[in-house]
Amino acid sequence: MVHDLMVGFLSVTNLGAIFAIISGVSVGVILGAIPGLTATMGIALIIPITFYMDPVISISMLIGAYKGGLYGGSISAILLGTPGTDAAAATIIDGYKMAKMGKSGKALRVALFSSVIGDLTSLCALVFLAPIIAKFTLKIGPGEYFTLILFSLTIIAGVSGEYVSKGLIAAFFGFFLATIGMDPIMGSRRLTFGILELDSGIAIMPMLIGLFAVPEIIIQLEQPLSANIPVLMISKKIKDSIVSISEFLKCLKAIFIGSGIGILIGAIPGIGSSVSSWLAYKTVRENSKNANEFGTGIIEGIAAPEAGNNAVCGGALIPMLTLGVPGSIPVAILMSAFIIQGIVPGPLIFKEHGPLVYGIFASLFFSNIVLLLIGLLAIKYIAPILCKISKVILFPIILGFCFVGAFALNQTFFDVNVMVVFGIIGYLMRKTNYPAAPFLIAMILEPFAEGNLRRFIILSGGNIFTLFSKPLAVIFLALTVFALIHFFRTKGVQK
Amino acid sequence: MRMKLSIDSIIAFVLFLIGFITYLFIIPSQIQVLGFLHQGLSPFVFPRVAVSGFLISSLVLFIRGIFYKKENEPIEITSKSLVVILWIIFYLLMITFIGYYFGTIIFLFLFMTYLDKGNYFKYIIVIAIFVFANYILFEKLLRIILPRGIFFE
Repeated sequence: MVHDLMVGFLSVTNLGAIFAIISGVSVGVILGAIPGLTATMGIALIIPITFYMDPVISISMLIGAYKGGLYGGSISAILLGTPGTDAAAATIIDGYKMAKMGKSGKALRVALFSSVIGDLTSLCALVFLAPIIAKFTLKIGPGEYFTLILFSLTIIAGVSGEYVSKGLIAAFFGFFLATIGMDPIMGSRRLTFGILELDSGIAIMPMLIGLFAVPEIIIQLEQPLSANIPVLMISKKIKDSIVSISEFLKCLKAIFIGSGIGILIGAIPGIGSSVSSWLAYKTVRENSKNANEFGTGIIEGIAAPEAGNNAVCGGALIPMLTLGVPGSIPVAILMSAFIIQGIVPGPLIFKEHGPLVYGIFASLFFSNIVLLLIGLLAIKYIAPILCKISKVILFPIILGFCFVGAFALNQTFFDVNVMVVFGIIGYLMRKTNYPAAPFLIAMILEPFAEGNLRRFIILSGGNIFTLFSKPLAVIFLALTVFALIHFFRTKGVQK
Repeated sequence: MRMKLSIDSIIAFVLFLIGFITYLFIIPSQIQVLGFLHQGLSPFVFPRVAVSGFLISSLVLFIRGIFYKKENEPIEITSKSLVVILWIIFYLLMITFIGYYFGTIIFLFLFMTYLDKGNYFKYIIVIAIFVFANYILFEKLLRIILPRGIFFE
């Protein structure tokens, strides 16, 4: 493993990769800091540019944007009291209070250090656990893999929506749309309505941009544009701006608890960084001697959620790299970037693309260092400006970028139409509370689900019930049934 | 007895109908069959699995909506959001006919002015930088020819 890691580090120690990481982190921090723009939207908008790059450089840039976006959300949470991303909502409680007390510089630095340590901890978990899990998953057959996808989608559908049935409708809709195009085994046309552009299926890239960027623009522009939220300025006094060693040590416990929670939550499909940050905050508060001081503007109240939401990144990459199952929307978008580059995440990735995977691990490490440096610069120079960018200019420009991004990948105007259609579908889904996560993840996983199901049917001689003779498949099916019962009982009755 | 349905139930019912039509009519007519096929090789398998799941889930949501009614569940689609959607469609048409560059310049200026009749000079500067940056990034660096539009091709 040490040798592989060395090779990985060598593959990203070149100007191209370092420039890609710096650009990715910078774009992520900027987009994350602007209220209304998210890390997800940032990654979706960057993918069209990365398509033309070397796979390691391209993935490094996207991972940089993801990490930068997670941290960037805390900037507006602290200075505006409005989270730049959902994941930074818990940071407001103590972060905004500290900023009101004139300690915004200290709050932003605590958020930055916690984010970086959370990231590094989750990276260690990823580097040590992923190869072990990948070895185990090599033994999974087509039947087991199909049931694993079903189980993962059930969890994602259950935790990401208002009701599990809405999540399942979204997931099956995603499955269905992904079957459009040439049949992967027989090569016959399916559901194309004679439209030639649909022969290769619905392109993921324009669909992603439509589903995540366009609805956000419409929803942001629905709201009053003149809402004038005061931006709290960065403190001038040194003692209110820097984090002393004693303060840093005081935060360490909160950071490690937050990181542990982030890794676990990240590895479970569907939950994501928002839940992780709240859970980290709650856990640290409950285990603190100063529980009463939480909410009054203390540094542990920032350290826990920030470590919690950033640690999700490494945790969420574990199931994606080892099983080919993305647990959250940003990771699903990352997975689609892998697929666009011709790399299929899953049990075989360590065998087939070992140097690439270790290169990604190395780029994760470098992106932490870059995040630390860019974060410090952002606190000093650009944080207050980012929070004041006019919506009137910002959202039309992003719309312009959506159009060019949708066109860029396949260079066909049909994709721009696809982007607009999915933009409207995404907006309606948001308004009617149908979650986008199961829809997107089902669309990405459909080729794997279908391929494995059909392969299993062929291998079993058409007898699907032989699935019950496979212990692992039975376990996944039983877990799916338990999960469904649990979600129906809790969500349905409570509502 | 009058039964009042929730919005969730109405949407679920509509989705169920769409799924039903898809299963019975669209799938059989829109999937090519190339001779006799082994069950596992049939291109019908997965679309049918997907639509069956869709039908069952929407039926469950419909029934749940009858028994567990929410009190406040308005779907807020404002007139402003419909106007924004119309602007997006207008932009699509502009690019189709007059190409990305001219379409973007005109659309962005009109759209920004619609959102806030403010600083026209600022809008023009921002739009010029944006279009120029796109030209350099896509046409010069990535060598992607952006759409020129039906009128200019």
